[in-house]
Amino acid sequence: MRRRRAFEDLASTVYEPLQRYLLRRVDEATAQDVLGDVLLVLWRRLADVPPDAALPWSYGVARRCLANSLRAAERQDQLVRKLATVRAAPPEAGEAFADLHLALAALPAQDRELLRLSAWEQLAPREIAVVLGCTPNAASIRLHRAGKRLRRALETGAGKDAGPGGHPGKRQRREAAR
Amino acid sequence: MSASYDEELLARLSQADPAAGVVVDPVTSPQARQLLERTMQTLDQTSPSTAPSPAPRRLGGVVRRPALLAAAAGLVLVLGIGAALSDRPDAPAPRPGTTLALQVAGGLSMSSCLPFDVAVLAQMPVALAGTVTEVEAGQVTLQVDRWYRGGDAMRVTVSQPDAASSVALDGVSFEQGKRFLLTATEGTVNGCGFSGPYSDELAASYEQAFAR
Repeated sequence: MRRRRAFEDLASTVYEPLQRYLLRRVDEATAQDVLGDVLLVLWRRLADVPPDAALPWSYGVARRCLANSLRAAERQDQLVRKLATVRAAPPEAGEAFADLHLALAALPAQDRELLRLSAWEQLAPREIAVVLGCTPNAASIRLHRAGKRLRRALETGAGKDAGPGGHPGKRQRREAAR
Repeated sequence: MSASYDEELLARLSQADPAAGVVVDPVTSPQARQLLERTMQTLDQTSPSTAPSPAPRRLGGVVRRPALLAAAAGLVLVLGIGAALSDRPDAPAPRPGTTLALQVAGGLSMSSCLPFDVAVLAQMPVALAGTVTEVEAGQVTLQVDRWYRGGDAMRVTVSQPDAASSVALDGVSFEQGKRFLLTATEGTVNGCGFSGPYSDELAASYEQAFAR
């Protein structure tokens, strides 16, 4: 039962951070659902989990599971409801951060994720690279650019009129699919 | 500006972490144990086409996604009776004449039973009929008379890890000469009615589930 033990070890490392990762991005019910999916993937792909980057790798799984979840919701024509539950500005964040959350929500999805991974999950660029499946260098450059865009969005008050989903004209980069 | 972006902005964003101060389920909580146990009892071999459906809704009323539902419902096995088929779930079937070692999980299992369903039974990667030939402390040996799926060993041992007590399945002791129908997943003998003492009724379900 070596596999079970390995999974238990992994779970003890990632279970709580994964919950926070999900709760930062979606409502509690969705987070709970996706957590189940993530664990299932981790269990099935246990042999693929890099021992030196188990948590970022697991975040990467969570990110994909979450994207699947939101896509499924869209298919079920529940997009509006789902988006409404995405935590744009949670009450506990308070007024002080409302502008920041709005500016963040106005950014392209990939920028948003880069910034969250850095500020909230406290990941270094090389770890962000594991989550996003890019090179550390690319993660670092994209993070830098995302930071600049966030700053600009804050300064121009972006997001106050735009809903989640960001600037309509902002094109997603090709690698944003990753 | 350096490669790291705006430090002040990063610091401010960190403070705006919506999960700051949020208490999450510790990995040791009963809910976590249950979820992890359920996950580990999920069949690896299941492909989408074999996934049972439709899946039941979870409590709470929120619409759940089908993938997870499948996991929560049919794919998930029952009661943590463990069997060491091998450490790898996708390991090749044992050769004829060898002994297949199974285990009955000792200790606490937080998992709950699924209602018995032939569709769920049909997902089991290992299924056999055999008669107990030897009973020792913590281990019994069965002579296999029929493989429904997942092996061709002549003998199967079922042991209870970290327990010197007699091996029992859902409270049923393995007695010498008694015939059993067993299914196993992930080196785990499944309880909850998916394995048990031989009966015509259970045998009929096996026939139905593992009919080619």
